[in-house]
Amino acid sequence: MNQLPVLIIVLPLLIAPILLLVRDNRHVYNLSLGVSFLNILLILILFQDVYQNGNILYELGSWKAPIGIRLNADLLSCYFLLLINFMAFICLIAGNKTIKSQVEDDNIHLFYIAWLLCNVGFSGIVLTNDIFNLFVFLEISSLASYFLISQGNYKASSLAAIQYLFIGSIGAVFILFAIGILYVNTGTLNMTDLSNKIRSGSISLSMSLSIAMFLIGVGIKTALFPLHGWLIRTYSYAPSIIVSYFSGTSTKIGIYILLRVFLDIFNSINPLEYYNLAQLILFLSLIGVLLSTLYAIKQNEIKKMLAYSSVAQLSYIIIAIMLLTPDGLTASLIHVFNHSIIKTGLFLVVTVLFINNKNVSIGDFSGLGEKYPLLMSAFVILLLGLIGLPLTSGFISKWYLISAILQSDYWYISGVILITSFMTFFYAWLLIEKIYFSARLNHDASVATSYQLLCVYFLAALTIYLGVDTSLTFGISEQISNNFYSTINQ
Amino acid sequence: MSILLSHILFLAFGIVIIYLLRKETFTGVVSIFISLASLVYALYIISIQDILINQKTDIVNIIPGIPLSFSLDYLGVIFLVISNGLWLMVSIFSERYLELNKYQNKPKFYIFFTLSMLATNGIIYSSNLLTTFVFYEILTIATYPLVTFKGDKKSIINGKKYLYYLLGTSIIFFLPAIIFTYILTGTLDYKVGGIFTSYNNTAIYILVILYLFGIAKSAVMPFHKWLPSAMVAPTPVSALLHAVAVVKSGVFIMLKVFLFIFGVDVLTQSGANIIIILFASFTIISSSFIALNQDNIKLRLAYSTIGQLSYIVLATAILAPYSILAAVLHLIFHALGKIMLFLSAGIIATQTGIKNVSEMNNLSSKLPITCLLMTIGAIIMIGLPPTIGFISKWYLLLGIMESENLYLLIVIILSTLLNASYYFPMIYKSYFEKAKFDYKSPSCEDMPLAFPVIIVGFIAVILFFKTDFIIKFITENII
Repeated sequence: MNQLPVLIIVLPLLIAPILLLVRDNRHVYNLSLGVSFLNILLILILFQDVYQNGNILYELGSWKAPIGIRLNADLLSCYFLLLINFMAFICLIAGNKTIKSQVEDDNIHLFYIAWLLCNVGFSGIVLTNDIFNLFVFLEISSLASYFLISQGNYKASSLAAIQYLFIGSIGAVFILFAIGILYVNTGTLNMTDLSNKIRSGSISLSMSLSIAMFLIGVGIKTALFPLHGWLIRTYSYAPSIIVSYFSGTSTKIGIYILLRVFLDIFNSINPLEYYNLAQLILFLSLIGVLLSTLYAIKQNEIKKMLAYSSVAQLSYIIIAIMLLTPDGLTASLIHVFNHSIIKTGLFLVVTVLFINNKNVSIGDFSGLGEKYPLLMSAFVILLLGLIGLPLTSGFISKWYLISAILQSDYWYISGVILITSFMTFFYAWLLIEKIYFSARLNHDASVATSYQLLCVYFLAALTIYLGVDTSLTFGISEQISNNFYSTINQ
Repeated sequence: MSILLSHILFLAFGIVIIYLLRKETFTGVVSIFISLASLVYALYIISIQDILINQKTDIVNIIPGIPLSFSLDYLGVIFLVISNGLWLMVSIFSERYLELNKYQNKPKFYIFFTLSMLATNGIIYSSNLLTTFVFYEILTIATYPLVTFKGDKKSIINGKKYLYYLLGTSIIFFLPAIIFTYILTGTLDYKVGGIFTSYNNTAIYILVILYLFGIAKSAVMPFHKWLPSAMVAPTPVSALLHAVAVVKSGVFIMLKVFLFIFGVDVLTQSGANIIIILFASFTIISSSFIALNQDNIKLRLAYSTIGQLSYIVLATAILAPYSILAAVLHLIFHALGKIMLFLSAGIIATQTGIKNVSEMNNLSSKLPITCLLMTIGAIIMIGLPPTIGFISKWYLLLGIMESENLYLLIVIILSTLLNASYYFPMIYKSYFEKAKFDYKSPSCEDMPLAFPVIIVGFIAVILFFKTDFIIKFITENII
């Protein structure tokens, strides 16, 4: 039996308590970086394997599936797994210096441990084939992230963490109930098994309740409009390195759960189509795109601006999914990857430049183009990627999104999508203008270490690379969505 | 490696060299050499065009199935000579101009100037719409630092407007038009006769409107405002980019889309060309009226450009062989005439500080050569013999007759009268009205500055007697 899926989860899970004994901040950092790197290597091997030989199933403790817990590494899992762990690795490298200055000394080793656990949770969610297990991993990651968010050096950080705790818990409770109802109805928790049982059974009232609860729970996790409030607060007050990390991972996990539950587990009854849910979510997201883009333009604080921009971009992803076409799913998966890289890159620049500055406003970028020409070019590339200009990965996302919308029943919303995508340009340009045309202020933009700079350059380079070579994003996404829709149409 | 790709890479290499030098003194000379080499490249490419025509070179698959790809076509050949030839003239001009006007940060100027020309050449070489779109956006971005080169508040505001119009239209209209075309036809390659094998009229109408608005670089109203905004830039930028490279790219893409994406047959059968004719005619007339009220020389020239571009669009949209001939001819002749006008305006502003038409009294006594060149340029714009402007207008009229859209004669006649009425005051004032006040300094012609303009003027005059080879080339290869 291929041990890779379980290793990816267990390795950091075992290291985490050991780190608690090590305590020394430097060693803790080095070890967690090492684990993270090792994990990426393992994932790459796993990805390669899955890509060539198809799904890899792993029975935990050799208990057979419906009774025991099974891990299932398919292409979708691997795609998200790679993204999440890659982001964790990049942010760990870039984060060292900021964490030192933003988190209290005594808490630093705990911070890294929580980070590892959070990442374990994320990895577990995408790998598990057991829906209750998914909930457990979700809770692991949530608990860890409450701690991570509370470590920000704002007064409001603890408050943001508590709000996140409350809302996150509400979301989790909904998901738990939904799982409970499913279990009562089908008597199984294994996803494959569930999917088969649902296929044979009819849609009862309780089943619809379960679907609704899943939707709300997942909606909170993905910051689906109008459930996006927590995201803005979290992104504004958490330690900036955690924001960089979360912007590429935590909401994407929500997207993963959405896909897994609605397109995989429920694929035979296709609830999104059946209840016209897709249409509802689509139009909610459409309003979400419009409003959050408008809000993003109005923001003066850069973290808030980027947070609203994230809500808008997530709405694009959700709209693409809700088209319920293979093209739409492909577009959404491409954008998941591209947006994570761009947004993490943007937040990293903010993190790297303003270690101590709490409320970084757009004005703080005045004249930085002269001071850090190279870093700012990278920043501008990332912004251009966010706007979606050609030769950046954002353009690829936009191309497939528009293409999918024009070919779907909702071709008429393409106008709104295009206009909002142009509005992205408004707030991106505010920054670019400040960077290059304003006189320099006496701000305390800090000198970034070469590692941090390297991370930003790498992400900017990746933005261009993924805009030119789409074999990874498009190739994998298309295969995943074809797999999904071929089973649905059976 | 294909010669077309190597040309583009050479220009990229040139940008790197300018960046590495970054010396205020050298970069101008280096830039002149780069533009000279680029012209040599262009001429060499044209000398071996028979092997190159329609040879596709795929570079990289951006979207699976649609590569970034280069090829050369006959329309491109013409635009290639024009843009690279005039680039050389303008780089000679700008070296002196920037020096006289004491501009700082020359390396930045030349870097983005070269990048703009790279993008223009990229548009010329692109063999499908996606490649065109990529370079179209690069051109917009590359010209922005030039428009805002002065760095003052006015140029930032205008620069923003410039971007809003050009990027906005390209994102909201051009991109969906391309995607929609791809969905309908499954290809984006330019093909003689068009790529639509089956179509319905509604789709064609929607696409025509999307392309018409989306390619805002051709400045068809209502998305023309970016062009007057761009006039805050230093004169060489207005001259080469906003009278030749950028706007002609727009018209060039428009020509290619109408001829090689839709195809003449599809447009005539669906009747969609009427939309283009209407918008273009409206633009021709109203831009002339606006130009009439502009006192600033550059703004007047800008509105004149808007009108002249719509001549080309109109001539294309009439779709008669003669009118397409007129469109291509006007693409060449307007470039020559307008660049003379802009460069003359630059000389006038540099040497005397005059920026408005109302101050041009008796200018010819100070700047005799410049005024002569300006006059030639103006007559080309009006389209009177014995200048090349007359030839393209002649064929346009023939095209209108041929297509039997006789009401368009009124548009042409009216706009010619209007053209005359805003260009003649400039000529009249500078030659016959007495000076009202003294000039900033008693200045005379600066020969290094006037030299490139004289050459352009010389070519423009000679060309009137030697148009037959161009017309032969166009009729044999394009129509």
